Formats: sequence, C-alpha cells, structure tokens
Amino acid sequence: MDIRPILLVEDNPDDIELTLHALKDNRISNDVVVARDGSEAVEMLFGEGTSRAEGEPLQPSLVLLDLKLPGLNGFDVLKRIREEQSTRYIPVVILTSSKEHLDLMNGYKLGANSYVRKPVDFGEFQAVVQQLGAYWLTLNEPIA
Amino acid sequence: MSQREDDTAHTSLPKAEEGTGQSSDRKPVSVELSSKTIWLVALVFLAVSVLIGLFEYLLAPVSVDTRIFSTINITTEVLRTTCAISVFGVVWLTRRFSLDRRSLVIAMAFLAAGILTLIRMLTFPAMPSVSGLTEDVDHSLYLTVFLRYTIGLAMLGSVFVGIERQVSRNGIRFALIATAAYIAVATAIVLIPGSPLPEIEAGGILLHPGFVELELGAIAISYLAAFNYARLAARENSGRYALVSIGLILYAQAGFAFLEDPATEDAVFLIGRATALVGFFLVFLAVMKASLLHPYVRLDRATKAFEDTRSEVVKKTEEMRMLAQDLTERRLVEAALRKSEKGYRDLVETATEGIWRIDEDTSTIFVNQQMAQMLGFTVEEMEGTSMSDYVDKASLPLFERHMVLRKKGVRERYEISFVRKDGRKIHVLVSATPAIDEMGEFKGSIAFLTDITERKRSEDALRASERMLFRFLVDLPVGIVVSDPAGRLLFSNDRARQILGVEVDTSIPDEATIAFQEAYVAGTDKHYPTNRSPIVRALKGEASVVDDVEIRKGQEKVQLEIWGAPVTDQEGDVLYGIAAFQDITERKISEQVIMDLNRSLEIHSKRLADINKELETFSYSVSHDLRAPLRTIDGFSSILLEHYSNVLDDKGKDYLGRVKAGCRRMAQLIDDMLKLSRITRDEMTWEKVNLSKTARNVLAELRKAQPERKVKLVVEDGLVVQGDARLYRILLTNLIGNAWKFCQKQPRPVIEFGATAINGERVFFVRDNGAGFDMKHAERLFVPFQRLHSSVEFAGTGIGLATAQRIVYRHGGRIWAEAEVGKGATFYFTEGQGGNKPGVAT
Repeated sequence: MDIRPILLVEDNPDDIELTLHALKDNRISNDVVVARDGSEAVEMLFGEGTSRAEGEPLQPSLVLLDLKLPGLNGFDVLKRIREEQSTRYIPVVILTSSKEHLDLMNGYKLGANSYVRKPVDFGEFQAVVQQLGAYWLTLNEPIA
Repeated sequence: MSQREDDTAHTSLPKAEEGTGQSSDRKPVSVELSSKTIWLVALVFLAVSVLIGLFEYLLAPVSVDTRIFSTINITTEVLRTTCAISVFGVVWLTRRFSLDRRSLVIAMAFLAAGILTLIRMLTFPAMPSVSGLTEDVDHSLYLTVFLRYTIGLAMLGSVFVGIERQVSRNGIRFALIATAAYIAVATAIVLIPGSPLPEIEAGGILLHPGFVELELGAIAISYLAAFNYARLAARENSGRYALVSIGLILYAQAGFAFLEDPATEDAVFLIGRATALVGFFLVFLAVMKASLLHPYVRLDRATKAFEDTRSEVVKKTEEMRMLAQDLTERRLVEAALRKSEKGYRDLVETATEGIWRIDEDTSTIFVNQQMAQMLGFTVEEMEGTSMSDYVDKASLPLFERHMVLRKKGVRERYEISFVRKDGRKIHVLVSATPAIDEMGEFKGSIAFLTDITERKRSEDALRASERMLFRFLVDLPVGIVVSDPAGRLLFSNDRARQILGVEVDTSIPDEATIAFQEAYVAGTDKHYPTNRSPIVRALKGEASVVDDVEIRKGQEKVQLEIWGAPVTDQEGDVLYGIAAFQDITERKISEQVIMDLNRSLEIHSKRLADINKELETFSYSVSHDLRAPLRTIDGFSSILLEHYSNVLDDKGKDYLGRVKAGCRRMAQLIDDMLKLSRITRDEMTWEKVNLSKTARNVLAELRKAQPERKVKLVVEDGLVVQGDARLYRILLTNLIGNAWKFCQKQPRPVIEFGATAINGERVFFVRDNGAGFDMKHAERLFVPFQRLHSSVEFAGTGIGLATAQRIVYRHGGRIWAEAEVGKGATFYFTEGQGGNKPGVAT
C-alpha cells in the first residue's frame, strides 16, 4: 500500500468534509493534503509557493481533482501535472459533479487516469471512494 | 557545130533584164530572116557575075595602063592569100576549143590554097625576079587550076567528113604533113623546070583547050561544094554554111572570069580576082564565126545557162531554205501548239469547274469531264446536243434571255437550274463568255459552270435558321436591341420597345444609344456612365451585365437589368453589339423584401445562437452547480444518520430519510433536464435506421429489467427510416417505455409497434392497452415535467414525452397521441422529410 499522501483539489468545503469523511470511513490512512484552488495545487506540486513549511514539492500517491475551481481550473492543473517530468506519472482521478461529454473528452485527452462522477447519494459516494482507494493505493502499481 | 545557129542573136550578150523566154522566142525569127537574106545576097552575086560576063561580051576591051592592073592584081592576090592563111590561122589557134574534122579540112585546104596563091603571085611578071619563077608564067597557070581543085575538092570533102570533134593530135599532125606534102608536090610539079605538064599558050590570050577543060571541071566541083553547103545551110538553118556556099559560088564565078580573060591587064580579070577575094573572105568570115564567135556564143550561152542555173539554184536554195525555215517554224509552232494544247487540255480536264463550249445554235461543241459528271452523262453523250436540253423546264425562259444577251456579246454570271440524267435538279453558277471570231461574228459561247446545289441548300438552310432566329428574337420575352459598330440601331424586338416605352424606329439612327443615354443609375438622378453601358461595352468587344440602370417613363421609374455581348467575326472584329434587357423593377422590390427578411432572419438566428449558448452554459451550470448542494444535503444527512443515530429519535431519522429522498428526486430531475437539452443540442447523423429492429431491442431490455412481467409484443417488420439512430432509439425507448409503464396494471398487456398510412403519409405508432388518458389533457402531454398521473401511481419525472417530441421535431416529423382512459393510448409520429433538418427545435 502506497503510504504517500493523497492530494485533494477541491474548493467546496462541504465536499472536502464529505470526501475526508468517506476516506476515513473506508479506513484509508494516508495523509490527505487539500488544495483549495488550482493555483494552490500547482504551488504544492512544484514548490512555487510557501504553503508547505518544508518548501519541498509534494509527491502524492494520488490526485483527486475537481474540475470547477476558482482561478486555475482542474484542466489547467492536470495539464501542468502531465507537462512536468516530476509529476508526469502520478495517478490523477477527476472527481466531479459534471457528466458533460466535453469535460470527459478533455479530461482523458489531457491524461487523466480516471473520470468519476460524484454521486449525490452519500452511500454511493462512500462506495466510490472505497473503490478508488482500493484500486489506486493498493492494487495499482505506480512508478515510484 | 551545134544544130541551132543564130548570127544576130549572139552578137552580144543578152541584157540582164531580158528574160530567157523572150530571147528563145525571137531566135527562130531572126534565123529565118538571116537565111533569107543570105539566099538573097547569093542570088544578087550570081546576077552580078552573069552581068559582068555579059558586059565582057558586049564591051570591047579597052587598053589601060597595065601597071594599075598589075597593082590591083597583086593587091587582091595578097588579100586573098591573107584571107586563106587567116582561115587556117583562126582554125589552128582555136583548135583547142572548136576544132572539128570539117574545120580541120577547110583550114588545111585554105592553108594550101594560101601558100599556092602566094607562090603563084611570085610568078607574076610584075614581081621582082627573086626566085626566078617569073620566067615560067605558063606553068604558074597550072597553079591556078591546082588552087581551084584544091579548094573545090577540099570543100566538097569537108561536107562529108562531118563535124566530129574527135580530132586527135596525130590526126592534126597527119593533116599538116599531108598538106605540106601536097603543097610541095604541087609546086614541084608546076614549077620545077622540065615539068611534064604541057605548055599553055603564054603571052597571048588563048589558052590550051585542055587547060580550059580542067579549069571548068574545077569550077564544077566548086559549084558542087557550094550546092552541098547550101543544102547544109538550108538543113541546119545556118548562116555560116550559107556564107561558105556563097563564097564558093563567087570563087567559081571568078574561074569563069579567068577563063574569059586570063590576061592580067583586063577589067574582067580583075573583077574575077575581086570576086575570088570576096569568096575567100566570106569563107574566112564563116570560119571566124564558127571558130571564134561560136565558142563565145556557146560560152555566153553556157554562162547564161550557168547563170540561169545558178540563179535557179540560188532561187531554189532560197526556196528550200524558206521552206526549211517554214518547216522548222511550223514544227516549232506545232510543238508549241501541241504543248499549249496539252496545257489547255490539262487545264480543261483538271478544272474543278465544268467547261461547256456551245455554238451559235447552243449545240455542244465541247464539254469537259467535270461538266459531264456534273450532269451524270458521259462527254460522248453530250457532244452535239443542245445546252437547252439540260436546262430545267422552269429555267428555260431565263436561259433564252441569257442566250440573247450572249448574242449581244455580253459576258456575265448567272444562276440556273439543270436537270441531271438521273432526274435530280442541280443549281449551277454559270460564268459565260460569248465566242467571237476574228471577223467579229458570233460563234456561240464558252461557259464555266459550278455546281452550287449544296451551297444553295446550305444557304437556304442558313436563311431558314436566320428566319427562325429572327422570329425567336422577336418573340423573346426579353428586350433585345442590336446595334452596328457605329452605334446605329439595326434591330429591336417588340419587348424592347415595350420596356423602353418608345416607338423605336430602326430607320432612325442612334435610337438605341439614345434610349440608354437617357438612363440613370438606379435610385439616383445621376446619368448612367456611358463607359459602363453594356451596349457601349459590347461594341468595344466586352461582354457585361449590369442591373442598376434606371429609365424614366414619365413619372414611372423602371429598373433594368442589361446583358451586353459583342458579335465578332473570325478575326475578332466586332460586327454587332447585342443588348438584352428586362424590367426588374418588381424583382428588385422582391429582392429588397427578401434581403430585409434575410437580414432579420440573420439577426434572429444570431439571437437564437446566443440563447442556445446561454442554454448550454445554463445546462452546464445545472449539471454541476445544482448537484453540489444536493450532494452536501444528502452527504451530511447520511453522516447524521450513520454516526449520530444515537442522538436522533425515530422521528428525526424519518425526517432525515425524507431529506435524502428529496435529494434523490432533485438529482433525477436535474439529470432528466440535462438529457432533454442534450437531445436538442447534439449533432445529428443521418443514416438508415431499422425501427423494427430498434423496437425489438428496446422491448428486450425492458423484459430483461422486469422479467416477471408478461407483455404481448407485436412489432411490424421492415420499418426503415432515414435519421439519427441514437435519437430514434431514445424516441422508441421513451414511447415503448411509456407504454410498458402504463399497462403494468392491465392483466393482459399488449404493446404494438407498426406503421399505417394516413392521408398517404406513412405514420408510425406505438399502441398499448394500458391506463390511457383523458384527451382533454392531450395538449399538456408533451410539456416537460408535466405529468398526467401521480408519481405514486406511475413513476417518472415527466420528461419522456417531451424528449420524444423533440426527437420527432428534429427529424421534421409530427407527433400526437390518441387515448381513452382505461382503454390504452396510441402515440403516432411521422418520419418527416429525409432532407428536412431543422437545426433548432425548441
């Protein structure tokens, strides 16, 4: 099991709370680092900001990425991740409310590993989070 | 000697101008005359001799001085000797030219006579006694006899020796020797003393009778010779022989005179001597003539003959030359003629035109091959026939008129019809020239003929086509004007005049340009610029179209569309300018209306696009933004229920459950709404869609979802439409799903899918025998989120039929429903027109 932290990029505090709750309910013990917008996520990943005390770039085991973000949106962040050598192979799962065809297309085109729609039903959401953790943190073999 | 003698004719050369014919004509006359004269002279001499004799008898001798007589005697004797020797001399000297036997004999005789006379003369008493001969007078008298015999016999003999010219050198030599011998013998006999000859009484008058007889015999021989020469002269008509004859007669007469009085001192004796002399002289003359004159005459004659021959030859040569020249020239001319004839024949035979030569009666003298072929005859068949035989009957008067003109010498070209051998009529262009001979006489005519049947036919066809085209132009519902390069109007059709509103008279120049000069730029008061005018541009060789020309008909403004085009010849030079135009006033108004409509449509479309864009943005927001709060509500409600159940009573748990149910419904509504909007937004793909198959698939899925339900399904096979397969599947899913849902309370549910024809239009239907509905609510059926049944009774959000309607609309079809409560419902839809693809249906 990959014990590196999970980067959650999400601006809605309700969603952050619910996601963290779901992770805890599913006994996923990895640290969860939350970026509240695109810019913050980029800073964390490439050390361009001062949010992290260490100042070192974050190397997450998994990125859970919302699309609709203030400032840099989810696609912009995804693009940066795939452009940089250091982050190119980090698994990125788009976790969003949108089921728009255009968003799906763009997400896969820019190199998302998975596209998951957040269900309205919390029970279903918990199941989604459980499966994502099982798959990406346990089953899947990442390039470390 | 020649057979024909002429004394007078040959005394001189004939004058050059005298013709040969004339001289030959006169010759016989002159000869005859001279013969007569000679005979007359001879008779006169004879008469004189006789008279002298008579005078001797009548007159007594008179004594005169003997010395005078002696002198006269010697003189005559000398002359006689000279004459005799001269006879020989002449013959001798001319022997190479005119010697013949007779001449030779005569010459020798006279040589002997001359020498003997000379010797006798030396015996005369008057002569000085040199030789001593004078002593012997008696014997010298014998010389006289010898002389007489010598002459007489020689002359007689000469008649018989002929005139053969073959006298050899030896012959001459012999004659000379013989003569010399004779002279020597005679002299010796007479003069050598002791002569055997008897003495003649000398010194006296009397002569010995024997001597007298000898003398008479000699005289007789001389006469005989003279007679023979006279015959010769008569026979040969020769003057020379006549002279000889006369000479001999005179000589004989002289013998008589001697016998009468041998004494030298006597007048009679002297007359005798003179007569003898004349006789000798005449012979000399004759010999002269024969030996000297005659060769000249012959030479002259030969020369003349030669001259004549030469001139004849020259003349003949000249003639021959001329003839030869003539021949050569003629040959050349003939060759040239042949050549030119061949040239002309080639020309005539290879000419592509027919050539026809007729005489003044129109009979055919000549036709060439082409002409015969043109009429389908052979050349031989046509020869001699009249040209009028071939002329088409209808054209005969015309032909006659042209023939009259030909007789007047008129050359001309005209067209006429002929009839071929096969009866086909041909039209021919005739180029005719009258044939006039050197005398200016009419000798028929020559014509060159060209078959122009084809040309005429094509001309006729062209004319017909022109007429058709003209008719077409006249009747065309478009105004047409045609102008020449100078801008003069050549043609305008009715419509043109009607549009322009003027009585366009083609006889008035520049009407067309004037008509267009009064033109304005549409919508303004500016005159239309000339260099833009299509007719002006057409005349410059440019094709153009304008539609902004406006003309004024009183208050009325007429807008014209004008097409201008040039008509050019092969060199590209403009022959005509054509302008076609029509009144587009109405059209322009319509166009304006359409343009306005288009503009407003454009605005509307733009607005619609904007609205769509907004709708899209809205849909996106809905999908994302509306769901987020729902998730929050549901999420925290769930957490409360799970983790805080110990602080919640049952009522609280129930309420949280209701919150969660509300969230679910809300999420469903949002999803349905998005679905609906996507139906109207997504791109359509047109293809063949098998609705029967699609319907079966939909039913199969429904059965799979609710396998416990027993529903009878009736699907008509082979229903194929043109449309978007995905949308049709959604349509059928909705309609059939609807039917499936509403017949769930029916004990024997039946769902039917098929097609029927209503007013000739194919209409598809989905029928069920389920709950049905009240038709008064039919209008609300397709409104989104409108439900005719409670969601408790039948689940659903009320989006299905709205979706169905949009799909049908997008395909250009219609959808409606028929139903009765409790008896089921039937939904009908049409496929619309295949090509009808309304982009937007709201």
